[in-house]
Amino acid sequence: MTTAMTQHKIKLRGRLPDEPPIPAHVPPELVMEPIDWEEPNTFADPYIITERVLDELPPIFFSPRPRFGVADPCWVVTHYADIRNVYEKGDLYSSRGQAGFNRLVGETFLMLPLGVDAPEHSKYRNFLNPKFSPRAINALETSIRTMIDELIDGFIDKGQCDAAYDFGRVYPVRVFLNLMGFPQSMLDEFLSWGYAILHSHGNIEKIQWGIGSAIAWLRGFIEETRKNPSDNLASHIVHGEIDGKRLTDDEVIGMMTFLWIGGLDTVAATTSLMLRRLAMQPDLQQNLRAHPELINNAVEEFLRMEPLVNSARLVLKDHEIRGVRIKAGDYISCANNVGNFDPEQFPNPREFRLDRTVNRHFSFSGGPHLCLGVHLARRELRIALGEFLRRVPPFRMAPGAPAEAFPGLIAAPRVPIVWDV
Amino acid sequence: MPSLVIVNRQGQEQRVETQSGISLMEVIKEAGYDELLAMCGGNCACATCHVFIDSDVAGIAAPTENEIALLETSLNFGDKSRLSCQIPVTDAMNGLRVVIAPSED
Repeated sequence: MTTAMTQHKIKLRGRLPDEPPIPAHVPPELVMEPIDWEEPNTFADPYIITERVLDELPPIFFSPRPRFGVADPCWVVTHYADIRNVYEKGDLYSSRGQAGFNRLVGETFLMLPLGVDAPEHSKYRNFLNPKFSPRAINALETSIRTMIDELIDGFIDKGQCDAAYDFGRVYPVRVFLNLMGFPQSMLDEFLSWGYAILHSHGNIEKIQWGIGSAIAWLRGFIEETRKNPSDNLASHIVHGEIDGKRLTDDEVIGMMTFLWIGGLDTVAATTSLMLRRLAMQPDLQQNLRAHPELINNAVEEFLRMEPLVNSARLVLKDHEIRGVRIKAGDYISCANNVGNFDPEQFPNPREFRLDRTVNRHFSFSGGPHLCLGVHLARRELRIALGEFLRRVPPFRMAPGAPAEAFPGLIAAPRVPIVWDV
Repeated sequence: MPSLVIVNRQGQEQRVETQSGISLMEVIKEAGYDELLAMCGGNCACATCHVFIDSDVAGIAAPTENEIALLETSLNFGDKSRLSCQIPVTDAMNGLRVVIAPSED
């Protein structure tokens, strides 16, 4: 299925007066900031806005905009091969301190496992991997399916729903709360804190409120769990040991907070963008309905075409990328929203294709920090898409409904759809 | 120039000429076996480059703790299980039979 060729013009700005100065070694002609990567648009494929980047921008440029907890002003790489190097070459690029929103409220613990490099990283990763492996996720399949079907039950006879607010926003959080052992009653509060951290366009006060509230609540829950162990994931962490040693307080809160952030919003965002696109493109929807056996391929293509996060790394050693001098201490961001569409890796990259045999995209990042939740996310999305298409008749956007979506984590907060009952 | 016999998930065998110095995972990917996902790019983080081989026949080094920890999370973990990204190809592996582990999907 091809999207309409919009030939979307690139919109750039240079440095703004209130942004930090540009380091001396950065060539001024490489300083540029795409304006619309974080703005909403109404395209069925919101990421079409990056379609000319590989052809028209330098393969590496310098973004003057600071991203709290992620990067100072930073280099941006856009080509698949360069992004892959940043994720995989651990001697050159470090993830130390990534996702450090907690520093805004004076908390010094590291988010784990992301915030540390090898060899410490493997310890935390090995500790958590068994809880997120395909085998572990199999044990969740029935409860995931039940939660999804219960939500569909709630609107199937109405001929309408908000596929984001009533469905996409809710089921992944319910699954996650269940996995961790958090109370379902906290769903709305958790989401309000999560949105304050991740959806507030860098508003410092909102991020502080969100992360402060979450950490306070998690610390209370950790204390309760210390007294009352159980077989959920939170208890596995609170009572956990690595190499025969109990986890420290910082290790426990570091893992709990990072999992809390990671588990809230991402599958929801992908689901909402997926259903929005299907509502806006009836041919695509019909093609998927005709090929239920290709659900897994469809989910992978949606993931490829909807990268939610462009992650960053800290540069450890001076080196060059395509002849550009990069210095230790620089930050570098991986533009997954461009690299996932690199024709050198993905033929016909802007086409949604069910026949890709290799779909090794960066929506789950890459290298050793490949998203821990990858198997859980895939399973949830496969079940959600499968059940939605199986049970809900062909659906379309509600007439006159605003069709805005962000090409990123904020995604599509509202997707009002209708169908014939 | 070691030559390996690769067996895909349908049980079809193919002899593949390769070179020493790269990982077994890379050999399999470069020979066109897309089904070997290798999602983390060979960084011992995902377990999707899982193969079955006779490690002791070819003098291949035993797995590290990290590799074992990941393999143990696999549905198809068995005594011939290895992560192909952790095995450098050497001339001593000539004739080795490599079976791609079943999908965990």
